[in-house]
Amino acid sequence: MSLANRKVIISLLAASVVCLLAVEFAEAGRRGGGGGRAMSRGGPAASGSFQRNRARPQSRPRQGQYDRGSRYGQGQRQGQWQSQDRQGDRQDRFDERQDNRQDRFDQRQDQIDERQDLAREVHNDRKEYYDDRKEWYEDAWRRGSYITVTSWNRMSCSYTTIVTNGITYYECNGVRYERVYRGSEVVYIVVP
Amino acid sequence: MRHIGPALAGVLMILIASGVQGEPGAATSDEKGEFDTEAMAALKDMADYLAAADLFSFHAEYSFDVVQDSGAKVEFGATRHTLVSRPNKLRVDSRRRDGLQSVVIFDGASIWAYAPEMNVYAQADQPGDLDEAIDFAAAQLRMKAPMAELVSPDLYANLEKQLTQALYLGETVLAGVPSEHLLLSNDYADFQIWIATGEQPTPQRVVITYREEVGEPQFRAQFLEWDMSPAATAGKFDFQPGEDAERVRFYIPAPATDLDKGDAS
Repeated sequence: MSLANRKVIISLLAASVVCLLAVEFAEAGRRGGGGGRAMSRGGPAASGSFQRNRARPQSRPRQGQYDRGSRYGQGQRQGQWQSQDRQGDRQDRFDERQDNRQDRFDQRQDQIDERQDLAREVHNDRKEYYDDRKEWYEDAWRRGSYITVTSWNRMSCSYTTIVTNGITYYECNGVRYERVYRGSEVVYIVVP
Repeated sequence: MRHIGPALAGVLMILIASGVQGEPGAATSDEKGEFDTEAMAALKDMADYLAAADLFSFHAEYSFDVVQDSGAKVEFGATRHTLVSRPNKLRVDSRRRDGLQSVVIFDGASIWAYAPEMNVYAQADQPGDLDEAIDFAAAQLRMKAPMAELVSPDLYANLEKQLTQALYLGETVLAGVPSEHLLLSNDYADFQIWIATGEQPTPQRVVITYREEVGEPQFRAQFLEWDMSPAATAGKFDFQPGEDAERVRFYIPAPATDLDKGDAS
């Protein structure tokens, strides 16, 4: 084997080693620097509490649900009473109100069904999305779509920031996030 | 006295009020389990000692198991320094094993959470005294508050009313400190605690086993230092965010819906 051939072979071997190392480092980086994997960090034992209600606090309904419900109910009652400008024929009005209530109930039920269908579709889409990216997103889809700071740092995207109503949003790969305190740690929640 | 039979509760109250301690190993029992009078006495000594302190701090190493989807138990942990000023101030400085630091301050009017590396903070109004504020932080803000029970001025009453068993396991030496080893249980978890004997009955170690949870994960606390008269606490409960600090919101998870049921992540 000539000297030139040996040099070519050595160069190829060296290049292969460099490529292999580069792939290995890239893989290590993807796992999180130093080969760390994303693991679930939550759970009842993390609470360090002897009491069930502190180890497993119950979620409270979203504030918006209460607001929407109370405003809606109040508005309906006001509308009905304002339209009563004379006495008598109470039974007719009662029947009319019953019919109106039934109509509104049916409308609401339809809306609820539509929303549930839509939510189910979105939910399934999100599940598939996050299942595919579980290493980054842990089980975020189920808990309200968020990623940890560690996962955020691993994504290494060149994000842009948008400030709206005093809140800073971070846009990365077409997804908008808000930095929040979730429990005791800062996370990035996905803004719908 | 939800979990303790009325007769047993009466016996316990008489014993505690009169300061009578049973013979070593002596126990009363009912269908809820056994209650060693020595265990209850040691627990009360510790609770009274901590409740009487207006200003104190402790430094502890915490670790806990997280049961993964695969069933494997993985341990995580942190070191925490807790400073308490009754009736309503608290400061917890913690560093997780992965390096993330956090500071939580109850200044009497607000609850502040601060992430120094990111220079990010959140603020919420603080309700009531320490007990109420800790409940609020744990239940509503979902903050982790390990060993927060120790801070409560009603520690003994809070523990006693939920116990289904209290066993005195004997004297032992833990990291050179003579201690009394107790096993307490409620309907949810088992709680081992080692309490220093002598003038300062402070907890030395705690192990909680979440008996009712999948995989029976544990929480462990090793108390490294108790300071019952900490110095230089001025300003420790004041939080002044820097001009460049970013204020963010507390995010409260939505309630579980029917859609979530049956999904295993």
